[in-house]
Order: sequence, then C-alpha cells, then structure tokens
Amino acid sequence: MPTRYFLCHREDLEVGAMRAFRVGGVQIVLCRTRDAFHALRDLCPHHGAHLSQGRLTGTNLPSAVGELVYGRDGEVLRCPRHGWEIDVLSGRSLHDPERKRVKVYRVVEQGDDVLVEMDAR
Amino acid sequence: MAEHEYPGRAAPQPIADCDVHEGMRSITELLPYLPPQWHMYFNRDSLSRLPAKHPYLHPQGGTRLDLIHPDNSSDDMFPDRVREQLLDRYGITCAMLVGTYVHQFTAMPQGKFAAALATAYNDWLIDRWLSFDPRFKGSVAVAAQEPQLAAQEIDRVGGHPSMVQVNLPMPSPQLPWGHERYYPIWEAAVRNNLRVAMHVSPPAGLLGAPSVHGWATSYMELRCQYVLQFQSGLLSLVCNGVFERFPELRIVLLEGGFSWVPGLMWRLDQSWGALRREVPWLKRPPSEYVREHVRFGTQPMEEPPDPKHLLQLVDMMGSDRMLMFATDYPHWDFDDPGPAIPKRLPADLRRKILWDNARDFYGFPEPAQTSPSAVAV
Repeated sequence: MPTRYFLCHREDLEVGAMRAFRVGGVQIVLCRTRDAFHALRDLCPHHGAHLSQGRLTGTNLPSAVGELVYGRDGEVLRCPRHGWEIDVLSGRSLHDPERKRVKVYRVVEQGDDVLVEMDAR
Repeated sequence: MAEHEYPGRAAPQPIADCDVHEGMRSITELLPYLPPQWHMYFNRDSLSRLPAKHPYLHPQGGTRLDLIHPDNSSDDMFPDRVREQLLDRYGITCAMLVGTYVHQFTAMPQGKFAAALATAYNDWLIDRWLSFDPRFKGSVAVAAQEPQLAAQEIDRVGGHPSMVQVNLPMPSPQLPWGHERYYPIWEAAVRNNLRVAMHVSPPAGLLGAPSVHGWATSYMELRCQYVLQFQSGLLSLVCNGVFERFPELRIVLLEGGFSWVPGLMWRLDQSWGALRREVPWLKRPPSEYVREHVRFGTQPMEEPPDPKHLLQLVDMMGSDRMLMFATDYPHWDFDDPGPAIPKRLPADLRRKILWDNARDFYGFPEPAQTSPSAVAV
C-alpha cells in the first residue's frame, strides 16, 4: 500500500523548476511542468548522477535531415553528466526508451500540498 | 614458388571478389571515347600528370611482381589474362571492377574535364571489359566534385546490365560526404538501383591531406593511416543523416579494413545517447545505420595473431553479414581467397564472407551450378 509523503506547497516550485528530496532512503527529483508535477528517481540510469543537478529543458525533436525543431520545453530532464535526456512524464530516456529509464512516482495535489506516493519503507 | 594449391575438391564455393582493378596500358586508351574539345589536355606536359597522381612512391610498385612482364606491361591490362588468372583460377563468380585512375578523377580541380574522362572511362569499360565476360561487373566512374554531372553519368550508363555500383574514392573532394552537395549522387545511385563502392584513395589533388597530422613519411605509414579516411568518411555519412535521407542507399567500403568498426559503432551510439539533440534526424542508434547500410571489403585482410580474434571481431560487429571478400587483384597486397579467409572460421561464416553477403548486397542470383573451373577453398 503506497504511502503519501508531503513534498512542498505548490507555490514553492515554479513552472520549469525542479527540486531534490529524500523520502525515506530514496532520492527523488520533483519537476514542475506547465501542466503538472512529476516525481522521478533522482538517479541517472547511465552512471548514477543526480538528475536534479542537470537542467529541466526542452530538446530538438525527431526531424527531417538537416532541420532542427525545438519542442517539449520543460519536459526533458538533462543529466548533468554525459547529457542523457529523460522524459519527465514517463521516466524514459529519449535515445533508448525501452531499456534506459528511471522510476517515476505518482504525484498527488491536495489543495496547496504536493505529495508523492511511494511504497512504505 | 609458394602459391596456394587448389585441390579442386567437391562442393566448390562460389566467390564474389569485390575489389578488382582492371588495368589500362595508358590513359590514352580513353582518347577514342573522349570528345575532341578535351583532347587538348593530352599533350606532352600534361599526359604524365593525368589524372591527379599518387604523391607517394611505393617500394616495389603497386602491382604484383608475378604479373609484370619484361616489356613493362602487366596482366591486369588484358581481359583474357584476368579471366584466366583470376576468374578461372580462383573460381570467381562475380568480379567487381573498380578501375585504375578512376578515383583520381574526383581529385582533379578541372572538374568538367574530369567528368568527361569519367564518361570516356565508362564507355571504355563497357567496350573492353564488361562485354568480354559477364562475370566482370562494372562500377560507374564519376567526377564527384561535379555532383550534377556525376548524377547524369550514373543515369547514362547505370542501366547497363553489368553495372552494379557507383565508384567513389573514400576521401571526398572539398566537402565531406555527408554534405547535401552530394545528394544528387546518392539519388542517382538509388534511382538506378546501384550500390556505391567507396575505395581507398591517395591524398592527391582535391582529396586533400591524409590526416590532421599532415603527411605520412613512408608508404607503410600511409597504408596504415588509410584507416582514418574511412572512419571520418563513414562518420560524416552517418551523422549527417545520409542513410536516413536515402533509406535504400547501400555502400561498400573497400581497402579500409574492418577491425575498427566495432569501436566506432560503440562510440557513435554512446555519443548519440548524450548528444542526440544535435542530430535529431537520426531516429535509431547510429550503429544500426552502419549494420543496415554499410559493408566492408576484406582486403587487406585483418590478420590478428590468433584467428579466433576474427570471430570475436565479427561478434562485436553484431552481424555476420557485413564482410565481403575482395582480392584487390592485381595489386601487390592481393589476397588469395584460400589463405586469406582462414579455414578455422566456421564454414557458414566463410561462405557468407566469400559469397552470400555480396550476393545479397548486389542482388546476384545464386549460381545454378558452379562453374566447372571453380575450386574449393
């Protein structure tokens, strides 16, 4: 049965910002996109860097040869080392989404409170 | 004489030879095929420099010593002798002719003359070689520094039934191969259902210096340095999305080796994971484009001290369909199919290297029955 943990108030985190938390023994990163809050394990599946020390940004989307099309602004978490890109909505990497991904946690908003659901530890 | 003996056992192995250099007694053989407005360059001063010359001297010369005659001719200049010495002797089912002089056409700053030479070469090739024996397969000579003219030439002769590919040097003229300037060449190759052969070429004329470190000081150093032109050329094609833009394009890299391929693919994939947004037109790990679109001629065969390392290399490449046998006849470092493809390799892999992979790459039919002159290797 998952337990809900209080992380912060809505106004504590602006759209486009992120913040690291430790919940029990687990390090997570909370990201605020234009529409919602998203919580992910704060650990890059590549070399284990803290994603919260990277950038919450957009990226160049798959495009025709020679074209650069920017999009998904604020929905891509870029690792501070090596630059792997993680989709904050799914936790999947953009380059190898089936195999390289990080765990995502359900975020619940209750009034002004932002809570994360995690299994009790 | 330490020639390899062919016992002529049963179940001979069909062989495709992906790198054969048909010879020419003199470039003046092209004159009858060249429009008169270009004859002016066949003058006393220019002739010895036609086309762009190899800047390196070879300690023994580039041709196998056992093919050279007292009058300074060599057997590669005569289709009947090549048929006897290569096709019949080794049981070659298909021999891809990749020319002499041809790659240096692309090195010439006088590009329109180079294009005229390429046209003349193709007509000479058809007349003298492709008409002589159907086992000879042609490569369309082009002057790639003039991409539109190259495409026109591919359209002109690419439909000949014995033409199987477009013939390019591995080093590019001026701009790297991934540049859109060369799109007309890839389009024409695909339009004519031709493959593209990219062959090692000396640092002559427009083909530039051999490395970022400048000029090697021996032929030996240059020969080893050649690997670099293949790596940078392949990187340019992959990273600039040429295979994404031309999904039907297939290329074979000749005389560049292959032991470096696994490492380059690993580095490509690792870099793509980190830097994908810079090349968002690559929709798959770059190594997948290499495996799907690129083949590698075996000559000069990699010779690790322990043959099992060859197997490990193939394993690391992630495909046993990427290597295609080549002799490089008549050159000094000719690979004999017997000793060059070690018998310690699994029979299935040897067959793929010697025949199946080229058959699939070029779309050759399986021989109904192997020629009686074929030999087991």
